Amino acid sequence: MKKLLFILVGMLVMLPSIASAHTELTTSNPTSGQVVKEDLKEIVLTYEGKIESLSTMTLVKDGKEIPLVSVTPNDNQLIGTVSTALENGTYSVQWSIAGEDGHPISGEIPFTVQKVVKEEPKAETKQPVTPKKEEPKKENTNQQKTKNESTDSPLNMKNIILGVVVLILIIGVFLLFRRKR
Amino acid sequence: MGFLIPIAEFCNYLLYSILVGHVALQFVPETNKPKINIPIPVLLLSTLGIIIFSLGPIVQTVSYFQGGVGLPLAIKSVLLDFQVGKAWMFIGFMATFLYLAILLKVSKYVQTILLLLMILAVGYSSHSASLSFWPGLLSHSTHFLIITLWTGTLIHVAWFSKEWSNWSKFLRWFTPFAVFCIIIIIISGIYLMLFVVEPREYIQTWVLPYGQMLLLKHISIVPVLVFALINGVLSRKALKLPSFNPKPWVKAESIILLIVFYFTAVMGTLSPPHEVEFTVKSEGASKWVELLLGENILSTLQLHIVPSFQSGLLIIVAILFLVLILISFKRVKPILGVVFSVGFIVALYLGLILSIAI
Repeated sequence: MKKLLFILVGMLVMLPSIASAHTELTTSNPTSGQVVKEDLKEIVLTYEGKIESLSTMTLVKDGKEIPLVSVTPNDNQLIGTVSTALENGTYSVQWSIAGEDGHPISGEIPFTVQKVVKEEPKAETKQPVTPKKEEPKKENTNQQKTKNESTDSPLNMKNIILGVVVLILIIGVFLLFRRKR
Repeated sequence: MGFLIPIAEFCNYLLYSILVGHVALQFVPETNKPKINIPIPVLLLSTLGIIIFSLGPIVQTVSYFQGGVGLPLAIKSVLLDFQVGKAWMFIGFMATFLYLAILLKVSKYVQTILLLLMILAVGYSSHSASLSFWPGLLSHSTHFLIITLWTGTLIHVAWFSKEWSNWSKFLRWFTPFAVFCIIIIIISGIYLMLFVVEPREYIQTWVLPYGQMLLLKHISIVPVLVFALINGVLSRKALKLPSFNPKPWVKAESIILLIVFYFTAVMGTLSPPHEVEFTVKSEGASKWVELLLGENILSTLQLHIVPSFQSGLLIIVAILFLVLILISFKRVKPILGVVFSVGFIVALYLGLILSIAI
């Protein structure tokens, strides 16, 4: 009985590792990966619900932080303003907020400012929306790997899982109908 | 650190259940319940435990913001401005009063009011209340209250009762009461779910961590209902046999309920999938599901259910596990009953997840 309880507890404690981070961002201006062609002086992030007072964001260009004149949480929006319109380049907004239920959330919005049309759009195609933890490169290699394997591995996986579950069922039936000596 | 929050949350549910069960059973006359001997220190420690375990989300939020604004300011704003902070301060005071009330054996009505206020504070800081205040607060508090009422009574009867002399008399009121509770819990639970999940997106949410937990929670409710059936209906006949001891079966039911609690606790720490497609794109699908399905999930627009041979068989195996629970009652093996319940949860979960096609 005790052993069983330990196994059960162990299994349950492992569970959260299935889980990952939060996001409740609904829209933003600029959106992730957007190429901005006009003067941009205000960054507006809109969330699912009201956000709390400590919520903040920073603007980074090539690893250097660009100072924001103000960052104001206003109802369900977080508004950051810059003193002068942003120059051309690749930027990233790093935000961290807390909703009213106290869940802290953070994320990153990469975008490009490109007021002169001559330059080729480089960065925006490479970077999809990426939560902080994951590196886009890794994701790509993973993708390729799984694509190569996916021809036969899911079926195997399913069969193994099925086999294990059926085995447990059989052991269970055996234990249930075993006669006590 | 991250995995501690669900555990703290789980302990909270458990301690609330113990306290609510204790207060509720004071309203039941001695002749209609088994003799219950719960040590007073357990109750006192429960009130203190709630103060500490409710601190989990606050510690998380403070540590999150302290890097930006410094520890003192972070603590101050979280405690005074944030809803979680205000709720915790309030719960802390009420729990302290409840501690004194239990210690000094003050009237059960005072204890009831203090507990109800604490549960309202839990609802106040809930996710649903942050989305729409009054409906969210009331439905969350109701859901929480009724669950702790039902589970609490079960825990006291299962783990703290001395003998089972008044068992039939207890069942006479508890079975209809439990049915009433289950109905309210399901209605309020669905109502709460509608805050975060669109019904037609339910299957889509399965690829997200939140949806995983929601699915696991829903699946694990089924064996709870089977055990409720065993304890409420089948054990009445069995009670005529002098050798029959109903207690292990109630214990088994409470263990399965704790599993449901745990899924709920983990789910509470995850971001709700208001827009599944958006969430998948922004934070990615559950790694675990991607592993099971053997492919990367980048979009849920094409997602649908295609039962395969394997997943169909897994679902049949799950149903067999349910039948085995009933047979294990016949053969008086409560531990196997719990094992089969876990087997049912795992088999049905895998059966459903593996029938996802992207």
